[in-house]
Amino acid sequence: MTSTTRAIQLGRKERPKRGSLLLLVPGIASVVLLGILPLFIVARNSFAVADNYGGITDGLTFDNYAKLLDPVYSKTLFYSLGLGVLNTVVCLVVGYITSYYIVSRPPNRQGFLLLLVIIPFWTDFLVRTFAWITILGSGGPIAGVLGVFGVAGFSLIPSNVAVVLGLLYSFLPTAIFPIYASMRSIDPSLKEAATDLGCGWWGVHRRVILPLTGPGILGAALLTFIPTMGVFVIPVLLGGGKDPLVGNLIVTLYTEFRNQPMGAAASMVLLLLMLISMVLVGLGLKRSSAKKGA
Amino acid sequence: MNTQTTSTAASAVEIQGLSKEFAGHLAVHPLDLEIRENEFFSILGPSGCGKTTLMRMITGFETPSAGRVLLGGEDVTGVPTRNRDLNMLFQSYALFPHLTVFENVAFELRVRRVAKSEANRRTREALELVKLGHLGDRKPDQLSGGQRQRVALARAVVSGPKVVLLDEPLGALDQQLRKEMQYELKRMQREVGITFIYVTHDQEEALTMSDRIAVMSEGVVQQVAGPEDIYNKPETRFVAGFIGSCNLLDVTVPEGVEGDVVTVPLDGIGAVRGVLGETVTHERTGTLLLRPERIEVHRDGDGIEGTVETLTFLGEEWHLHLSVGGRLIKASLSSLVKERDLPGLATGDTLRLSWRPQDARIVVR
Repeated sequence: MTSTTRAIQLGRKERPKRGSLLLLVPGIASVVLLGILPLFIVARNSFAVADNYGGITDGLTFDNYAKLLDPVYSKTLFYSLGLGVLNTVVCLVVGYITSYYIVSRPPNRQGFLLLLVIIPFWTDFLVRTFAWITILGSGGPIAGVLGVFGVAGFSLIPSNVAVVLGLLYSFLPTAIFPIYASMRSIDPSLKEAATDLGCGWWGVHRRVILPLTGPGILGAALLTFIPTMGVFVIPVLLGGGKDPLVGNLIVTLYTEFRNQPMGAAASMVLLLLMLISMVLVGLGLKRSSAKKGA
Repeated sequence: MNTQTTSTAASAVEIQGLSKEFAGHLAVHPLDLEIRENEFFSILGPSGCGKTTLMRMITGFETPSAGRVLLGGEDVTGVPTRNRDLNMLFQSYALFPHLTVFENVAFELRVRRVAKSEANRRTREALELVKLGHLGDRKPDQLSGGQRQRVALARAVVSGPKVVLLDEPLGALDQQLRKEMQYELKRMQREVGITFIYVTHDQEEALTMSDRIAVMSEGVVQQVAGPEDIYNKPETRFVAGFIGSCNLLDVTVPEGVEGDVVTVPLDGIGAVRGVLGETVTHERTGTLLLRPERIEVHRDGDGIEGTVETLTFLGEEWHLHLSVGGRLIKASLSSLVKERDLPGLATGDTLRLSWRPQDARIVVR
C-alpha cells in the first residue's frame, strides 16, 4: 500500500526531467530543423541583398518588399487573392450542395459516395491537371461534340475558365470533408422540426442547416483558400501562365530570375496572407462558439 | 374522466381509410379514426405497431398509401407539413442548438412573419405557460431534460395550432420527472385548449392523461375508448393483455346462449359465468378476460377451488398465483383485505375463488 503510494508520488512529483526531455528531442529537432530554421532563413533572406550571380550578400534592406508593391508584382498578389476568394466561394457552394446530398442518402450509400470523392483526391495532382487539358482541349470530348454541330477550333486551354474549373476540381474534396462532417452530426429531426414549424426548403437551410454547418464551412474555407494562393501548376498548365498566382511568382523569382531575396519576400507576404486568413477564421469560429455557449 | 365529450363536439382530426404500405408490408391497415376538438387523445401500442407511422401521416412527414386525413374538416392529405395547422413535439425534442430558448420558441412566429412585438409577447406567454420565463436566454444544451421538454412544448403551442402531436415525449425522463410531467402536460393541454395526440407505448401514461385512447397492434386499431372502458371493457384479447395484468383463458362459447350473462365450460375448472363482449359472435372460440383484482378469494364458501402457489408482497397489495385445475390464475388483494380476512395466508393453502359475472368478459380470441 505504502509502496504504491510512493510510486504514484514518484510518478507525479519526482519524475526525472532529463529523461523525458530526451524523449522530446526527435520531435523538437524535426520542428526546429525542418520548420523553424528554414522559415527563419527565408525570413532573413527576404531582407537581404541579391548579388549578380543568384547568391545572397548580407545586408538589411526593405527594398525587396518595396519592389513587391510594383504593379507587376502587386497585380499578381491581388489576382491571387481574387482567384483564391472566387475558388473558395465556388468550392463552398458546390461542397455544401454535395455534402447535403451525401448526408441525405442512406448510411450505407454515404460511404460509397465519399469514396467517389476521395479517389481523385488520392490521384496525383499533376495527372489530374493533365486530364483536364484533355477534357477541355482541342482534341477533347467537348470540342468533339461541338465539332459535330459545326463549331470548329474549340479549346478552353489555355483560359481562365479552365483555371477556375481546375481549381474547383482540385479543392472540392477538401471543402466537402469538413462540411460533410459537421452536417452529418445534425440531428435529422431538426429538419423535420423546421418543416413542421413552417419552413420551406430554403428556410430549412437558411435557419437551421446552414448555421449548424457553420464551423465546417469556416474550416473548409480555410482549407481551400490558403492552398489556392500557393498553387502554381494549374495556372501554368490550364491558364497558359498568362496570369500567374503568388505561387508562380515565387517559383519564377527563385528559379528564373535567380533573385532569392525577392522570392523570399514574396513567400513571406504569402505566409502573412495565410496567417491573416487563419486569424479571421479563428475569430469567426470563436464568435460562433461563443454564440452557442452564451 | 372527460369521456363524456358531447357528441356535438367538432372533430379536430378525421382519418378515413388511411393506410401505409412499406415494401409490400402493411405498416398501417386501412383505418378510420376521429379525434375530437380539445381532446387529449392517446395512440397506445407496443413498438412496431404502426403508431409512429400513423402519427407521421397525420403530420405529413409520411405520405399515406391510401385514405384521407382531415384537419378541422378540411382535407389535408396532399398538403405539405409546413402548411398543416398542427405541430409536433419530437421524442428527441429537436430543439435548435444554435438558438436560445426564446428564439426556439419564437421560431415559428418568425418564420410565419408575425409582427415582432406580437411575436415577442406570445413567446413570453408560451414560456410562462411552461414556467420557463426566466430561462429565455439559455441555450438548449444548458437545460435539464425536463426543461428541454417544456421548451419543446412551448415551441409547439406558441402559434396556437389546431393539433399538437407528441411522440413519446416522456421517454427520456427519469421515473420521478415522468410522473410530474404527466400531470403538467394534462394541465397545459387544458390551459391552452389545443387537441393533443399523444403517441406512447406506456399504458400507465395513456391511462393517466387521456380522454380517449386508441390501442394499436400490428397496424390495426384494436379499440378506441376512454381509459376506464379500455381497462374494464377491453374488446380484444390484445387490449386486455397489453393494458394492466389480466388472466386470459381460452373458452368455447356454446351454441344458443342468449343474453348478456352466459355460462361457459372451462377445461379442468368447470362452468364459469361471464358476459359476452360486443364483438363475440356465438359458437366461436373466445377468451375469457379476468382482471386479478376482480377475483375475490376466501377461505371457504362458494367458488372454484385453488391452491396458492406463490405469494408476493408489493406494499399496497399482494399478488397471488393460484393453481386452479391445472391452470395458473393471477389474483391480487389489497394489503388491508389480506390482513383482515386472510391472516396467516401461506403458499399451499387452499382458497375459494369467485367473481361477479360482469367482471369476466368473453371476447374474440
